[in-house]
This record gives sequence, structure tokens and C-alpha cells, in this order.
Amino acid sequence: MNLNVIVQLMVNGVAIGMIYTLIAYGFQLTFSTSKSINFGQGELVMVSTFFTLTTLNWGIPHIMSIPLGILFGALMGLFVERVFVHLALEQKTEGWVLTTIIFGLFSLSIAENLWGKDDHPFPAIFSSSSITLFNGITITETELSLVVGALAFMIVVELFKRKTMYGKAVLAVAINRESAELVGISARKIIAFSYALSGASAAFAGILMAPITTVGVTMSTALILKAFSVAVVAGLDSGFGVVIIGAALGMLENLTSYYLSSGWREAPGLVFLILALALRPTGIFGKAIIRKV
Amino acid sequence: MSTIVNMIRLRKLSWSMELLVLLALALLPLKYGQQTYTMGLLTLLVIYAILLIGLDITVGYLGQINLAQTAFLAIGAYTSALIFQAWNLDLLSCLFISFIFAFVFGILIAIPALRLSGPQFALATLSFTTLTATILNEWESLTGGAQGLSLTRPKLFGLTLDATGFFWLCLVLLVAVWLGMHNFLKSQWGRSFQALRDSGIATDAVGIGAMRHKIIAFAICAGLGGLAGGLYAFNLQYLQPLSFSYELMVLLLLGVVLGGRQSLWGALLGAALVILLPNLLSNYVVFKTLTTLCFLAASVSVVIDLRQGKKIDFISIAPLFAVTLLFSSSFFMQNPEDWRKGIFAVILFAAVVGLPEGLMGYIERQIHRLFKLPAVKLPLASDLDDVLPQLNIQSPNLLQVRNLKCYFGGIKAVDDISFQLKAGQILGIIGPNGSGKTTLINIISGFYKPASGNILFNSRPLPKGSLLKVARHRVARTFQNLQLFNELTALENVMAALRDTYKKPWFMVMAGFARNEEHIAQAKALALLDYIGLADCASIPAKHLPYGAQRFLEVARALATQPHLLILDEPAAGMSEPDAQKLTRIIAKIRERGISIILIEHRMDIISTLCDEIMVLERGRVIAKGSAQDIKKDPLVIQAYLGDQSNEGLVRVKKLPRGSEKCETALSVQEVTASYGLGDILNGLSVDVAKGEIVAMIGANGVGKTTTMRVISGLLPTLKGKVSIWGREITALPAHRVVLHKLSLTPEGRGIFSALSVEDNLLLGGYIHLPRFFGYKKKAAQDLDIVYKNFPQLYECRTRLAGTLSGGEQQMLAIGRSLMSKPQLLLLDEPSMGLSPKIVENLFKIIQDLNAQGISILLVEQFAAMALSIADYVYVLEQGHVVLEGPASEISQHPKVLSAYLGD
Repeated sequence: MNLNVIVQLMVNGVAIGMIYTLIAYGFQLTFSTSKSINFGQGELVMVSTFFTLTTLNWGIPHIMSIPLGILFGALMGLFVERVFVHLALEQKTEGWVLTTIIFGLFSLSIAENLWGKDDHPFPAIFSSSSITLFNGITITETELSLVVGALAFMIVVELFKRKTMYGKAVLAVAINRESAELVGISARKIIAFSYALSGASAAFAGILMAPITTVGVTMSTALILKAFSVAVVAGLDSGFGVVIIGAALGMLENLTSYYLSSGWREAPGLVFLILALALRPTGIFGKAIIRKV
Repeated sequence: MSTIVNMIRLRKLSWSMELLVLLALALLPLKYGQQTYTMGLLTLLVIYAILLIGLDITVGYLGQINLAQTAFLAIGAYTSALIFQAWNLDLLSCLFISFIFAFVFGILIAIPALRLSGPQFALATLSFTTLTATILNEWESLTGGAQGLSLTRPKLFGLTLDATGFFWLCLVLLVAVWLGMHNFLKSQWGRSFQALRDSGIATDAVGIGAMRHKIIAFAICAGLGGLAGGLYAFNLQYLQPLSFSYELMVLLLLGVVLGGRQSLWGALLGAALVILLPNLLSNYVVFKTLTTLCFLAASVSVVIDLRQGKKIDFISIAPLFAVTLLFSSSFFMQNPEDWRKGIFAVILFAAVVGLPEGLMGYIERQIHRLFKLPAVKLPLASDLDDVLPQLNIQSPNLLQVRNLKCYFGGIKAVDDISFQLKAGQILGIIGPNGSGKTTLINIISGFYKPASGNILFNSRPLPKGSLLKVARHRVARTFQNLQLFNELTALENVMAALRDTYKKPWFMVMAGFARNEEHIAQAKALALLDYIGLADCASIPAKHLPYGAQRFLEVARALATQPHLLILDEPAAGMSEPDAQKLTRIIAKIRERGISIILIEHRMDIISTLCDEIMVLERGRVIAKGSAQDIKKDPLVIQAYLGDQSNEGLVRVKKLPRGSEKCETALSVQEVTASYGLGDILNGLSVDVAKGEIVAMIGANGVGKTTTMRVISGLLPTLKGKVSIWGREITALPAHRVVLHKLSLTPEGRGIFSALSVEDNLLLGGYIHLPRFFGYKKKAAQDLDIVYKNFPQLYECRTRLAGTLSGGEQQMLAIGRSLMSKPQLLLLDEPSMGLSPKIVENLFKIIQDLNAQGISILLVEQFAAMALSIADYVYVLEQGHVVLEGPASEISQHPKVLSAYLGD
């Protein structure tokens, strides 16, 4: 076995893994404040990416259209919370699982009819020229943009949460909702805001990835399951645990598809997911809960 | 008489409907027999009905979102196809093997999925579906991969089946599945599945066995999926992995929900919708009619809601909005088939929000309304001795508990407790909040595993850490927070726990030979309901019972397991006075049947009346044992309840007496009633705080002190009455708005943001005054200084995480956080909880200081002595209202104060 090949595969895997991580991070954002997630997040990724592609086709430059796409994702996230999640949360049921699946189906239909079922190329911002890291290990500029973009997004959000008053309010709601209400924070608004942030992260993940995968209605079907896996295996309240699990999954997939075949690339991740869920339902980096009656 | 006639009519109606639909389905080939496409579709409908009946067991009965059913469909399909290719078996053998194979797979998958629920379960099953699709795609040598697999239809007993014949075969199988599942799900099995959905904990506690039933439910669901898969393969005669996609899974799931959960009819209807809807959409006229009908139905329902004076909220308006969208877009849509998924999504959204019980649930409700169908007739109650035989155990120590210990983190919840219980006696356990009472019985009943110690029951060791195993040793329990099977009726709740009555194996049940058992169970359950005084409520769902009745029902359900020891955890909590008296009589009656009882209760009158011995706990230890009289005199007990009596350090500050002219009202609570959805915790409670006062509310656990605080601060809505502060009414305001009125609550248990630093906690306290993004530190500097001046300790540790502080520091932080909102009135809920006397004294001095700085204070304290020594005015609470009030100097010696805690 050539060590260099393995390292090279792992580097490429980490790049893709950061996309899983970013979407998984989006799941954590809403889960921490509201204990719910959007099961239609994959469609949100797809629709937001399509929207960005459309603005690019209108001739809006990247520098403008990417923020527009992220904003669009945030608005979609807000829409999901208001229409599909809010009611179930008020009733304290798990009805949001079904309704967000319905949201996904609805978005899929809209996208099929607006943009068709074909895949579209996404104009790249960065060239596909390689940068040598060390010892002949290379990474393309686009891949690098995935890593840098995803990490930067998460760091910015985390800084926002820690350094601004509103961000601290988000943390407060996540830690103790009642106490947050008592100091004057409207938990409802914070939950809606966390959905908007989650939508933004999903949209950004789609935009980062689009130059590699092209844009189409099924672009995120497989992707979203992996992001789910990363979020759940790491633990839905694990913070930066998703970065490690995301990177690990990306590497594992690349190694599998190289040594087995590309069709099998998803299998080991899924097996690990089922095992991880069975052995540690709260995730590897998640906290255990004391049951009470 | 008329009820019986009605009964027969209902039975006949149901069966004749089933026959009619069956006949209609069976005759369809006569019309469509020549059209291959239509016949294929109709066959698929029948196959999907089988599939959805299976799926409904997990989605409807177990209440789990199961996304693995397409995987089982695929497994069944490929199994049948490959087996037929390899060995050329008969059709029925192929189908049988498919069923068994998927069944076994279901068990294998159920085991890892068992510990999961909600989104995690959904995800685990979804991964399984994806994994299956991957394997089918990649294992080309076996499955043909993406190319697919073509096959022919096997013979049935040597006969070659054409499309019509195959359709009839599917129909016969559907009828068989329908009848089998009808019997099965109406038996104790279906009931156990539903019980499991409503409360897994209680399912174990009554000895049903959550694990086993979950596995069986999942396995049957998978098996039916496999059977449907086999039929699917031979219907289409071509298989490819792509057919078993996530999209199909979503459609199936939504089909079950839309059709109606926990209903065979619902599954059939759901299958019809999944199959027919796409075809209906291809015809523009049909589509137009459909949307118009939906639109009309939604409009009519909103109009009815309006006329009945219902509030128009999201639930009533969202479906109308959704179908209006559909209706109006139908004018522009050129080709509705392209919008198939979108239309399906909109209809589903409307249905999920507007008809949460599904189409079938709705139809059934309307039928019951129109025909005024009576409740199902019940058999006569059996003899009580059959259900609850008189026990005659002679044992001086039925239960022996030795050196039990249990820790949570650093907290010694149960710290070396030993005691024994004589057979046929009632042992009362009392103690202040957090003294370890519930933890102790959680250990005995197997919910928690102790760190060390022994429990002997009937001289044999009781299993540790398993509710189920302990329940099977005839130890039954009830729960402080009710764990009823909410969707089941009162009768079914009790029937679910009658484990000994059900002896027939599952195949007899499916074949319908266990109806006799069902009647016996009904009779026995009725006898128990009668015994406990709930016979009239037998057919009311538990969730609709009044609160008191729910508590009684839990006792009846526990008795159904024929216990030798019954553990009751605060059975009278939140009960009205008549109910509490009834409860006392019932417990006495239960003892007469020879059943030993452990009773945790805060109401001393009940404890004194019933208990042969009382054990007092404090901080996880036994501090006293004896009769009610002994306990009341015990100085240790009095101190545990009232706190340290000698507070030389605290001196009350003289203030203006109430009623003088200069006295201004800070807070006024008038005749407030409030509840947590069940019994009223507060009944017409009135409390006032004058400006500049320290007011204390005292009383035993569970009398409504904390509830009052929650009502005032807006965390809990008021049902009746008025709350005003500084002359302005705040009754309906949510908590985050109440704080704007210069009022702040320091909640019970402190509620600090443990994962944030001390300074962040304080800053968040000033949230309402601070800029949302930047520059907040500068603005808060002055207020922070004031807090740090009051609590110098907090300044020392301002960068530490709040969760790492000691209990006393956390309490100071919580008060400091409240001060940051610059309140004129501070509500303090149990500030002394869990703190040592020295720290409490220090804390109370600070409270006095704050009061001297001009902040009015309303203080809730379980430990009355300390509160009385600094308060100006005192309210003593019992059962949700004020029983005594007056200036603290007059109240402190009043005998009522002690009796509020330890009874008269």
C-alpha cells in the first residue's frame, strides 16, 4: 500500500467531510434551542443552491450572489420554523418530523418544476488547479474553499454566539429555556432565529459544494443522510464534535471507494451510524441524560 | 335493550362494509381484466395495503417514525425473486420465505433500534433503507445491480396465474392479513404496543416488557413488508434497486398518516391514496374537482369553527390556506402531474395539521356522531377475589433494605438507608424536598440501580435496575408524575396490566381463539375499577379523565398486577379534599386485602391516619422512625422541616405597618387559580406585597408556593384571577415581558446558565437593558459593580463557568442575575435549598441588605424559621390557598405554622 495515496485520499475526504460537518452543524443549531431538526434540510440545501445559480445566471457577480443565496437559505429556515415546526413545538409533540418531511417534498416539487430535473453546472469561483501541501500531497483550490468556507462559517457563528448579547441569548435558551425567559429573552424568537441560522449554513454548504457536484434536484439526497449521521454520531449537542466526525466520515468514504468501489462508499458510514446509535444514542461527544419519573 | 340493538347494528355495519369493499375489489377484474396497466395498479394497491398494515404497527401503534419499510419491501421482493430463480419453488413457498426472512431481519434491526426514539429512530431506520439500496445496487452478481432483475411468475399449486388470478391471490392474502391483524391488534398485544407508545416506563412497571413487545411489533411490521415485497416482485416481474427509494418511503409513511393511524381501514385508504392520487392528477377535470372539494371542505370547517365561537388559530387557518393555495394554483397549472409531489405535500400538510387523526379517524368520528353509537357493551364485573385474592403473608420483614446508596455526580441522593417492612403494614416516608424519597423507591422498584446495598423481598434478593423484573416479583408502583397509557381507556389501562390472564399463544390470538380471554380480562378490569370507584369511567380515554380519577386509575392499574407490595409515590399530590379522603379510604381497603404498602406523601393527615410506621428522610438519610406522634415531637424532624430555630444573627427591621397611608402596593395577586393541565394547584390564592416589605410565603411541599411564583412571573398562565404590579395588570403577559415591569424571579433550583461564565450569566440578567450586539459590556459596567459589591465572591470567580460554582455561590449568582434587570420587586423561590445553615444565614443577611437598598422582596421558603425571622409579613399556604396571614412577629409562634408541615 502506498502511504502517499492513503494520505492523499484522506485529505480529499476531509474536504468533502467539511460539507457534512457544516450541514450537521446546522442541525445542531436548531436542536440545541428547540430539540427539533428539519428533516427537509436536504431540499433546503438544493433549493438555495438553485436560487444562487439563478442569480448568477442573471449576471449578478459571485460576491453578491453568494450572500444572497445564504440570505435566501436563512429565509427558508425561518419559513420552515414558522409554518412546519412551530405548531408541533407548541403542542410538545414530535409532529415536526412529519411536517418537515412534507416541507422537503413540497420544495422538491417546486424545484423540479422551476428548474427541471437535469443537472446544471455551477460556475466555479476558484480554479481547479492544485496546491501542493507537503510531500506531493495536493489539494485543489475548490477543495480548499470547502474546508476554509465551512470552518469560517462555523467560527463566525460561534464568535457571534459568544461575543454578542444576542448570541449569548441563543446559548441561554439552549441551556435553560425558562431562565432565559425570566431574564427577558423571547425563546420563540431565538428558536426562529436558530432556524434561520441553520438555513443559512445549509445554503452555504450547498453553494460551497455545487462547483464539485453540479446542481440538480437530487444533489443532496445522499448528502443529507451523511450530515444527519455526522450530527447524530457526534451527538446533537456536541459542539465541535461534528468537525471530527465529519472529517472521519469523509476519509472513510474515500478510502472505501478507492479500495472497494465507488458504489460502496456510503456503506461503512451507515453501518457505523447504526452501531453508534445503538451503543450510544446520545452521540460520541454528546452528554448522557439522567432519566426521571 | 336499545344499546344491544345498536351494538349489533354497529357490528353488522362494520362487517358489511368490509364485505362490500372486498366484493367490490374482487369484482373489479371483470371490468379491467383486459387492461394490463390497470390490473397491475389494482394489484399494487392491494399489495400496498398489506405493506401499510404492517407499517401502521410501528407508526400507529408504537408511535415511532419508521423509515425502513421500503427496505423490507425490497428484501422481500429480492428474496422471493432469487429463491424462485434458484430453486423454482411454488409461489406460496416463495412468499412464505420472504415473510420469514424479513421477519428475522426485522428482529435484527429492532435490537439496535430499540433504545432509540423520535428522530434517532427515524434516522437509524432511514440509514438501514439506504444501506439496503446500496447493497442491492452493488452486489451485482446476486441482484443484477442497477440493470435490474427480470423474472416470471411462479406457479400456485401447479396452476399458472394470469393477472386476474394473481390479483385474487393478493386479495385473499390481504383478507387473511386483515383478519389476523384485526384479532391480534384488538387483543392484549395491540394494547401492549399502544401502552408502550404512551409510556415505556409504565409498560415495564406493570410487567408487560417493553423490549420484547417492541421487537415483536417491529418484526411483524417487517414480516408483512417482506410478504408485500414477494407479491410486489411477482406483480411487476421486474425489480430494480431504484424502485425502493427514499421517496417511496416518504409516500408510504404519509399514506399511513393521511389514511389514519391504528386502523386497518386507514391503511387501505392510505394505500389507495398513494396509488390513485398520481393517476387522478393526470386527469385535469378530476384534479379540478378534487381541489374544489378540498377547498370547500376546509372553508366549511373554518366557518363551523367560527360559528361555534372557537378561536381562529394556526390549526384552523393553515389547512384552509394550504388548500386555497392548491385551489388557486389549479387555474394556472397546465399539467398537474408534474406537480404531483407538491400537490401531495400540500394535501398532506392540510391533513396533518387539520385532521391529526387521519381521514379514517375523522370518518369514524363522524359515523359515531351521526349514528349516535353507544359505547361498547361490557361484561359483568368478575368477583373481586378472582382479581385481588386475599393475601395472607406472615412475615416480620417482607421487605428488607440494607445499606442502600445511590449517587448522582457528587450528590448523595440516597446515603446508606436501611429499613424493613412488616407484611400487611403501611410504611410512610416523609421528608423535605430533595431528601431522596423518590430516589429510594426508584431504586427499590428497579428504575435506578443502586451504587451498593441489598434489597430482600420475601427473603429473596430483589433484582436491581430493572423495573420489569421487579414488577414480576409482585412489587407494583405508581408514579409521582403520572405515567398512564393516555390514549387507552380506563378499562384498557387496567386490562393492559392483567398479565396473568393472557395465556393463549400469539397464533391462537391471530386466529381469533382468544376472545374468551379478552372477556375475562374485561370482567376482571371492571372489578378493579369498581373497587377503586371508577366503574363509570371505564370507556373514557385516560387522558380525558379528571385529574383525581387519573391518580386512582394508576392505583387500579398497579393492583391489576396482583402485587404483594404496593409503592405509592405522592398519590394525593394536587388532589382535591374529597378525592384525598377517598384515596385514604381506598388505601385502607387495599391493606385489608393483605397487601403491604409504602406510601410517600406530603399530606401529614393522610400519613397519620394510615401509616403503621413513619420514616423521615433528610439529605438521603433516615433521621427518624416511629409513629406519627413520636415524629411530630422529634426535634430533628422539626428542624428538618422548619430550619434552624435559633437565628440570633438576624434582626428584623422595623417598618411601617400595613394599612398606613404611606404604604404603597408593589404586588397584588387576587384570587388566582392555576394548574399544570390537571388538578388545580392554586385555588383562589391572594397575596399582597407592599413597597419596601419582605414578605414570606411558607408551607409544606406541594401546597403551591412555587406555582404562585411561576404564575406571577408569567411562566405559568393564570386560569382565573388577576396579577398586578405597581398598579398595572400583568396577568396575561409571558415571562419575557413581565420582567420589563421591574420584577424579577430567582427560580427554584437557581436555573443558572451552567455552561456560561459567571459574568455572562450576569450580563444576560441585564438583557432587557443592554444593546443586542456590541458595547453591552460598557453599558453594564455600573450594574455589574453593584452586583459585585453585594456579592464580592462572584467578582473573584467571574470568569469561571457557572456550573463549577458551589451551591451557595450559584444561589448568589442567581440572585445577582436577577438584580441585573434592576428590579424593584425580587421574587426568591427557595433560596436556601440544598445549602448549609451557615451559608443560608449569610444569604439571608444579604437579602436584608437588598431590602434596605429599597427592593421589595417576596420570599418562598420551605424552611420557615429563617424566613420568619426576617420577614415583615407572612402567608401560610395549604392546598393552594392562604390559611393564615399576618405580621411575622405575630405569626411565628402560631401553632398553625408547625401543623402546616406536620399536621394537626
